[in-house]
Amino acid sequence: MKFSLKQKNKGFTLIETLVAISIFTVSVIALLTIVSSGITDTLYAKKKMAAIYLAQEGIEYMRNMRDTYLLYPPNGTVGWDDFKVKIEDCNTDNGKGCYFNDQALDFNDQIQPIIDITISPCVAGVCPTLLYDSLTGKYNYTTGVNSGFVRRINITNINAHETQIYSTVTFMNGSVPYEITFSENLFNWIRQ
Amino acid sequence: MVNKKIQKNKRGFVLLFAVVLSSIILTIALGLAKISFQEIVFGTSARSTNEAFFAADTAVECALYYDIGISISAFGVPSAQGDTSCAGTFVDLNNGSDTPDPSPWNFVLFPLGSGQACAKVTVTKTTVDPVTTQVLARGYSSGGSNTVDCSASNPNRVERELEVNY
Repeated sequence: MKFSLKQKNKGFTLIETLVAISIFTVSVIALLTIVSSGITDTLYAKKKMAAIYLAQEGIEYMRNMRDTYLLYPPNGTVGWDDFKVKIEDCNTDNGKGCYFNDQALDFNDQIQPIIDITISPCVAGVCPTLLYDSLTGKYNYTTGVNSGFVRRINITNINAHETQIYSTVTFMNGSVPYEITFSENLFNWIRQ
Repeated sequence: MVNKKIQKNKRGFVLLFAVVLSSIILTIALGLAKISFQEIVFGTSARSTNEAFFAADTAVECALYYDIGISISAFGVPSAQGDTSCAGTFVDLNNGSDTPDPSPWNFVLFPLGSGQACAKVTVTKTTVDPVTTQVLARGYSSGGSNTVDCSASNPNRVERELEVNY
């Protein structure tokens, strides 16, 4: 009786161990899968946040430029017309968008600092990649390392007094391309 | 007999140990998954915030243009289709009436931004001097497909409000 009990015990422990190992294996695999997808998702979320802020910045630069031209037009000129001339390279009708470089932004110019920034067309629809300068924490086109973000500004003239601005930031997460686009309509609402 | 009972009770220890260990590991894993999921939700809401804000801003600019950007305010003036438009759609600045309608005036702008956003605007003018105007624009991240009142059932919809007084 005692012998048979012992035998039974031995067999059960083996099955038990196998079951335990398999449960353990399943949970470890689950852990590894979730951790790896968690890391990927976190990286994606980080890039997405940066892309959102860069796209927002694009709209705000264009807005600031419109405001500056409208509020402080040089003598004898119409601010709204000057603004449209300045951003003509971004017109969807003329090509595939533009990018701006704020390197030339000169705050010594007390009246219109923002209009010193350069706006260049994206050649063949390909805009340059933004560089990230870790010393200043700024994204630019001159110094730093490749950030992987590409910003493109597009405008569409809805009518004589309304312009729609699109700011698109594209980035890669792994091998998947992502795109963040914001858009705003600017009006010539300041009577001159 | 006592010995036997103890022996019996010891059975299943490895199984129990494995289950406890795997539940701890799974808890850690689910915790990590929750963190990354929250980050994605946070990123999405940051995007919706901008969509809603830019929609509200576009709506404010539209109202400002038709009130002070042109020589005579277009509010409270019956207008024909195509006379007044913002973001490519006709806006009725007279509450849809054929005769001059008193303040406040409401209108809806859609679709804005990436095509999902929309905005509701209320413009109020006082009748006594000095005339003051209030532009109240509510931008929404979704509801742009609703051409009547900009409403949407999406529980994650973001609203941003801008108020301009002059």
